[in-house]
Amino acid sequence: MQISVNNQTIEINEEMTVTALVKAQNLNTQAIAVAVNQHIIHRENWPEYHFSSGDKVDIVTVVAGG
Amino acid sequence: MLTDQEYLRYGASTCLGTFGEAEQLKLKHARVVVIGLGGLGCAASQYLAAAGAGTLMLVDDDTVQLSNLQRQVLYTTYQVGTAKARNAARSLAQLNNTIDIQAKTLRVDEDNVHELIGDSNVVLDCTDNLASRWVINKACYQAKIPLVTGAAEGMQGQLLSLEPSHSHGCYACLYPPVTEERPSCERVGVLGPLVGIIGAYQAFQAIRALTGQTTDWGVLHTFDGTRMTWSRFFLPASVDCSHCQESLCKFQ
Repeated sequence: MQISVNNQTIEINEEMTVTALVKAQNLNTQAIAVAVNQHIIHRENWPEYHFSSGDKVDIVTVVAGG
Repeated sequence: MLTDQEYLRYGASTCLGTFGEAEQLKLKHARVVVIGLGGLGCAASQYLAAAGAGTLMLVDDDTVQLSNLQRQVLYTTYQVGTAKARNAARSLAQLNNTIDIQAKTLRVDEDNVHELIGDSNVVLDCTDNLASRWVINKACYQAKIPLVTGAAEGMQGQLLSLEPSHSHGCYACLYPPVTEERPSCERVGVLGPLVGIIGAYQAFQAIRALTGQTTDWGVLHTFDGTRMTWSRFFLPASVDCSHCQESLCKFQ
């Protein structure tokens, strides 16, 4: 099935979780937040959270400058 | 009641259909703490002072550097090497001499944060590091004080308004307190007006909150300066959060 990640459409299998997606993207998990369809998914739910076809995923990187 | 001078000064605000004398008076009696007087704090405090926020507490331990002047618009070349808090207070007093402006040259930490924010109506987090952000976030939850936190680096800006005692999450729900520190704006760079955009947005949110108008609590706003786009993300409370869940439990 297809989902979009930061406005790029990608093909994933139905078993993919947020944890697997973040790992596949080779991201620093502590420095990001993940939102699906504009709702932040807390990291304790990442291992069990499965995507649905057409989901819009946004990976937001922490910004801390002032 | 507003004075004649205040009617003249704030007339462009009070003629708004949704913002009248009552709202201006709420602002006049408000106490706002701005922590961090870099790019965000300069922009936010400038608009709050101009708008007539009655008492402004300005907090920063730093001095003005030449490399700050590209985006920190309250300071001048002649103030390099001197305390930001004092300079900001002086500059804002020239902008609006009818409000009370207090300056504290110190770094916020767990030991002093409660005294700093104690009797405020809203806190603006304009700091430049994650450690301070978690300290401020936790203290605001414990003291039940609304918090408007902003951040900017590179071409990216973020803003999150948090109201204690509610269903949405907090800053530590979004970025847990184990996240590594980010490099400074001097190292990663930042386009000057970006901090103005986010700082002004913080002031806007604070004014709305202080005057009882609808505010986007618990919504992360992100600005991508490379695409000129804004996005919104809803932040639910995290049951595992060591900050807000623990703080809320203490008051239940």
